[in-house]
Amino acid sequence: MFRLLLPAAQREAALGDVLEEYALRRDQEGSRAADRWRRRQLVRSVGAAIRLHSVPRTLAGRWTDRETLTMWHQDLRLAVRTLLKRPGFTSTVVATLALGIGVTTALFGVFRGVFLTPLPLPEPEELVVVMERGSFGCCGPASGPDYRDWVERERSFDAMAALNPVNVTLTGLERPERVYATHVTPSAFDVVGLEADRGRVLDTDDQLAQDVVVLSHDAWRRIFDGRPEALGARLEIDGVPKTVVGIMPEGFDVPSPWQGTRHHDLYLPMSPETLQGSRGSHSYPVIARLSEGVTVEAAQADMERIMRELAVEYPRTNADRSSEVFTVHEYVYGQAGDQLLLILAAAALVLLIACANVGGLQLARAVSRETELSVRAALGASRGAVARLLFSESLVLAMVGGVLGMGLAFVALDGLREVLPPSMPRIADIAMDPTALAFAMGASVATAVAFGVLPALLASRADLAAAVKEGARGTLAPRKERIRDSFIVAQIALGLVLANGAALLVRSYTELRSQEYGFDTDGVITLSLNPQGPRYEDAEARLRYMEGVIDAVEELGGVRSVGTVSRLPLFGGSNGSVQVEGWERRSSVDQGPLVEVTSVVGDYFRAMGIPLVQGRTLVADDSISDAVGVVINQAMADEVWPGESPLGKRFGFGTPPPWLTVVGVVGDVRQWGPEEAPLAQAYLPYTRGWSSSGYLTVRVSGDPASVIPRVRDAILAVDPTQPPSDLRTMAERLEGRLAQRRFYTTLIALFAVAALFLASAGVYGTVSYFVVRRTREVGIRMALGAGGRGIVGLVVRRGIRLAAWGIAVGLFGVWATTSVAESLVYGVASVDLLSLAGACLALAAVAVAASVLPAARAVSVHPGVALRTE
Amino acid sequence: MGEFEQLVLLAVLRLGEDAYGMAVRRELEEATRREVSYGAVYTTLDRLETKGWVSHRLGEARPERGGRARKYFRVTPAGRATLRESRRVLDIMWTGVSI
Repeated sequence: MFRLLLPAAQREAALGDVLEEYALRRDQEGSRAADRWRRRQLVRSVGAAIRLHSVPRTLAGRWTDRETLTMWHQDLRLAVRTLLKRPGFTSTVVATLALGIGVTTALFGVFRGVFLTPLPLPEPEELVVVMERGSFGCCGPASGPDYRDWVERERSFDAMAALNPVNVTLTGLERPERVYATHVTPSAFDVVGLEADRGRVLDTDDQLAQDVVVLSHDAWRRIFDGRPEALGARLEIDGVPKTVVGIMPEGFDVPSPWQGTRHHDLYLPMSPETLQGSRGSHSYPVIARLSEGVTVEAAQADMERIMRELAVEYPRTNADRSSEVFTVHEYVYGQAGDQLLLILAAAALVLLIACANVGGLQLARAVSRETELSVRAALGASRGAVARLLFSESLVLAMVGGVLGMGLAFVALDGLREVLPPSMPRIADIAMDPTALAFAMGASVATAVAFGVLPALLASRADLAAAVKEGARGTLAPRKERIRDSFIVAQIALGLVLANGAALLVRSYTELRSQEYGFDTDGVITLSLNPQGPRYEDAEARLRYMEGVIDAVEELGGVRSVGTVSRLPLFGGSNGSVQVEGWERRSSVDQGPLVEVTSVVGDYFRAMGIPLVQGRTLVADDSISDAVGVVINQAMADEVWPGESPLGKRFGFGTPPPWLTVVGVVGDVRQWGPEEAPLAQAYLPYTRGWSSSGYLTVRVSGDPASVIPRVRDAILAVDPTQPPSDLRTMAERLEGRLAQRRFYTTLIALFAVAALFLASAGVYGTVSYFVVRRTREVGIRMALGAGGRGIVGLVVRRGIRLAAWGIAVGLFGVWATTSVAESLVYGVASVDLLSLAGACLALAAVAVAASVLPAARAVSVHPGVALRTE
Repeated sequence: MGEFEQLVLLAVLRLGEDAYGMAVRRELEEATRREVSYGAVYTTLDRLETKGWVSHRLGEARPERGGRARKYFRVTPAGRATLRESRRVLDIMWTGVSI
């Protein structure tokens, strides 16, 4: 930034001085004061820069004639003086330019940082995620045997790797620590294409021995303070000692479809047996690197071929499965990209409106000056001189607007970095984007200059007599009138499109907020329990631990009910097909309905506030008796046993299944996310469930935050080696799930407000200006006997006609953008009639008010006075 | 010669061998008791150099300056002559004036 403000020859020395003094001040006064000082310096240097640059250098260089310089100098000073005399016009144009430039640039910075900057890995465009598609849709992980067949049969990839991301506990340290790790096939390092920074990566021998671990650069610095002895050190992971054999370079990560903002800390070898499990159980995301010259589409076709072969060979598990190939970038950042693109489109609309606004204002002003300019020309000013004067004015406007816009963009980016939802990937990469800044400034400056200078050039050529008369009449040549009208129409139309989009997002968000999720977040604490280590190898031991924790927490004062669940609502889960007793298979590939499988211990339903609809909840006996009891949700009852009582009915997983007997029905919850409708779901006793870890849910009376420390202590008292992690209230988790949407909604709403404000200001400014200019005409009409009402009606009809045109074009725009809107909003129609009608009315009202108020004033003026006005 | 130009020239003279940007800026700030921006200082130094009233030499590159060298300025004989002339005129004009 400073760079731009300094004379080229002095730049390096000056930047050095700033750095030196900054460091000095930081040491003496602290970094906040130093930052403030630097900002002040920046702002104060702007003035100096304008003084230096306001004399165009090329001109100064080429035309050594002092007179030319003086002329420019005079023009600029005159321009500044003229502009200062019209503070209303000047501040409107400057503010509009600043807003348009600042907002667009800041958002493009976000967009580019998050979405356009490639992953910091070699040839990132070749990295792909391979997912399976099944009857549930897209996309799920692969099964081990499928993966092994893919590796054997594919012809598209240089390398392919299976992952299994897990949370593990580092137990050997002073304080046990939970970290994010992933089991990988050694080929993962080939896929990513980076060697270890120190030591080595994993190899196939490690897969058998299972005694080593590779650290990420971050984990190395955090756990070992970056000491070289880390290599070869022992690290206890979930109670099992492993040797550190490698440390990966900074920035390295094995991309995983699940990861979002998290980076893996540890890489563990995946054992070969893991991949020999059942073909029906899908747990492993697969990544791969495309061979040279192979496109994603070709790889997709190749994978489909393999999946067809597998469907024939293994009809029972693979009949309805296919596969999808995505670039990693698309898969991991795709969704954020979509939403950001929408925001960017909104920003572009704001910029367009700003440009139309400035164009309209400039045009109006130029027209109003036609007389002045013609007189200047008549008195001997050359066309060049007139153009230079207007060019100077536009330039001053554009520069001030641009500099303010830049400042606004900096402030906005800082602000955005703070309020961006933490789930947004790669917030750290967000920075000011010079290209976007140049573009936004270029567009607005070009608009300002073009509409400032062009009409003026036309005017300077015009016939003096005609111009003086035309100016006096206060009306316009039809062509110019059309240009001005089109600006008004464009502003109304663009404002409408944006207003509709914003209204939809806001409605969609409120809809989501008021959603019935099927549980009650008030007063619920949740935390992750994951008993690890040799003592917890079998399910019984883990169950005893969980029961111990539940008992201990129940003892605490203020606690009402406690239970555990394998996966919290809104946070996904795992599902499988069920065999229902008494159901005939329709075909060999019919697998029965897909059901969410969740395991619970204790009083989970009451703790989470899920209502019991029929029967009873699970009791301890349900897991050990011969008839294993199970609770299902209403959706499953309706789907599997429509119209009859499900109590006592039996179903199970696998063939032949161990039967589970339905003992109760509970209300539906949104398991997969705030926007996903509830699915059929079965709650199994812990030992029959599929997950070894779980979440403790505690319902308390009073403030949950105050109970959290006591809950933690109680859990550590049960087993000090098993730290609970991720302690948060359910309300916080829900907020977190909605944060991203809330952010986008707020942003779009802000844009819409800015856009409507700009459009209204523009419409009002332009329309009312021309009405005022017709005061003289009104005077003549009045003097000739026209009634005040008739005249106001005349002017207002014009305003209404313009508004109607704007609204018509705007509605067409809304219609054209519905398909985009449909993909992004939840639970509301893609056109929000109520808000659309509101926005139409508001803009029409502005256009009418802009005509009525000045027209009424004009009518009330005595015709004699009106005739004398220029 | 503008007032600020004069102040910058004098600051460079007062600082002697140590007259680089940061020192000049601080000298000016102390004398005027107002915040002075690097933009103003360097714009002026640039202009003075173009007019041939100051010249510069580069010092060693330093790490705390991001590897950039300090630029030490010196008032040229032409600069001194101009300063002397402006002081002479001012002295004449001040004679007999009391405010």
